[in-house]
Amino acid sequence: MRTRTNLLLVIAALLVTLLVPFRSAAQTHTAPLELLRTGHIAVKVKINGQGPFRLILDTGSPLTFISTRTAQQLGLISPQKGKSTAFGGLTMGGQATLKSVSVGDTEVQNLNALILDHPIVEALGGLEGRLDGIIGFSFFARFHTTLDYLASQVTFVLVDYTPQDVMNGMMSRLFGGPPKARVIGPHSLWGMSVAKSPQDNGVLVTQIYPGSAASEGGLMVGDRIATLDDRWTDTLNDLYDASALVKTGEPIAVKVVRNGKELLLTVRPRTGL
Amino acid sequence: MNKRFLLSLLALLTVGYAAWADPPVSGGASKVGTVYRVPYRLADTKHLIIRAKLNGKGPYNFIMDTGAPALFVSADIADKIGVKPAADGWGTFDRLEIEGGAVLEKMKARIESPAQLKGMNAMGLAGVRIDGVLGFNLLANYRIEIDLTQPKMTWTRQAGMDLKPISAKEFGEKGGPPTQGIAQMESLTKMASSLFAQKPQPEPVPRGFFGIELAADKPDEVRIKTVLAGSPAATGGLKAGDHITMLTVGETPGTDIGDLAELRKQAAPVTAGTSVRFTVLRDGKTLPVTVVAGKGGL
Repeated sequence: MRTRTNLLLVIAALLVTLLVPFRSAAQTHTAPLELLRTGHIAVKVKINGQGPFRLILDTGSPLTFISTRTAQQLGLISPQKGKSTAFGGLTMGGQATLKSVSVGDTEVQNLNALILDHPIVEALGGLEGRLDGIIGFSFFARFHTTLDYLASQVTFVLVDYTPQDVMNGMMSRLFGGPPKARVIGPHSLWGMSVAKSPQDNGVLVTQIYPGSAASEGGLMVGDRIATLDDRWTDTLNDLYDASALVKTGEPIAVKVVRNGKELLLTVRPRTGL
Repeated sequence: MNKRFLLSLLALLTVGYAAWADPPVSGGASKVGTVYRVPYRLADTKHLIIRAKLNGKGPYNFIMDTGAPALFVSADIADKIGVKPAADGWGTFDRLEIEGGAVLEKMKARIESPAQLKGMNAMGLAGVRIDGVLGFNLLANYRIEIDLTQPKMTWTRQAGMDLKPISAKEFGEKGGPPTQGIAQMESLTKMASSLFAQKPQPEPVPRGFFGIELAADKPDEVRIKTVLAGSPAATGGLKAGDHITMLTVGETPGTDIGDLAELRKQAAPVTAGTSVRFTVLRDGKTLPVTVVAGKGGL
């Protein structure tokens, strides 16, 4: 049993090493962005080798959409289908897995898309020429994505991130039990106590443990912490959220207000609880 | 549950919509080339949430949305801040500060809550209240880098840019504003909201504090390096050199702790005021040590 587990571990380790050169060779892919007069941005997209189609690049869309017309053109739905309307009078043709979606020379395979005539996309198309859908989070989250409005271009570099299906999250939100309170805790040991500052924004330092990271970093009782790692700390929860995200041992910028003056300190939180 | 209905709900999550007036690019004179690291969080709906303060008030939660033509601020928030929209629906915020330090002055915004936002908030979908949307007239002031493997985005200040105007004549010829589409989104929102009563997201609770510094030199052993004087751990009787083998929360004994990650995982749900029992190895003997997790420590 143990041997088999070890063997699996070795194989897993090999897989990781194999991935490293691949990752470091990650290429930069650039594609033109078209700025519509409505302030939206469109990209040319090849789907299953066909096209190019013209889709809105939308960081506010969790999913990728294609219009029923586009789905018909790709042979994903029959010409009769797509007439059916869902609640709210939207024209839609269900879901499809797109074998290949390319923006410029960046390709994502097996991308889930919703076939739907989004009313806003249709309206924009009426004004700015045919639009075929929306490229959303499910596509761009796989990349280090750079949006350059001035240069009218978008750049994609593959990163190690697989977007989760938004459907699951929504199902649990709508049909799960009452949401549970999240417990938030710092990732490392700072060695201080804090309380909500009664009048001002910010969190008040009420205690510094001698010899701790906080003490070493120069924090003092009475300091009001305004930001931690450039994150606002207006409430205790803000402070815990911010400290949950910083790494142990790294120099973390802490902006405090002391005697009415702003002060920038550096604290290296330590391993502990 | 009708799958079609769920699918159309997903359409609601897309925040792309239109403001049918020339959205002016506005923003203060902060230096071109300045680089900001902008913290964000990923909402349950996979929206990128960025916090901003308006005229010093807030912070408020915004969706970063290239599918929106402008900055949108919900009417109730604008009202609270005391910014009233003009007859054309646009209002001006003297100062808008993005978390991470970017500041824009005299920022124009649409003062309204689009159907998509109302729906998301009514159903509590995002897991956090959304107060507005950061769209083109704000975003186009920056070159924006998004990388989900990093806790912050990178925004580099650029010269702002203007849009070519669309004449009223052309607008008329091409069908005018998408009133029908917007009405569809609104009816969908109403229907969905009436079916799903909001389940309010409870406020997060801070974890309890112990006050132990742990040795990180051996990967498969959790040893206390220092106990902070006067901390809950010191009061409970933990000592430097103790080797932590188990953590028991409540009645059921915990599972073995082999490494730091396991201790972190088991301690993660312990809230302030909770009494927990550490099992430690000290001078060759196994001892139970009870510690009451402290409040307000980190």
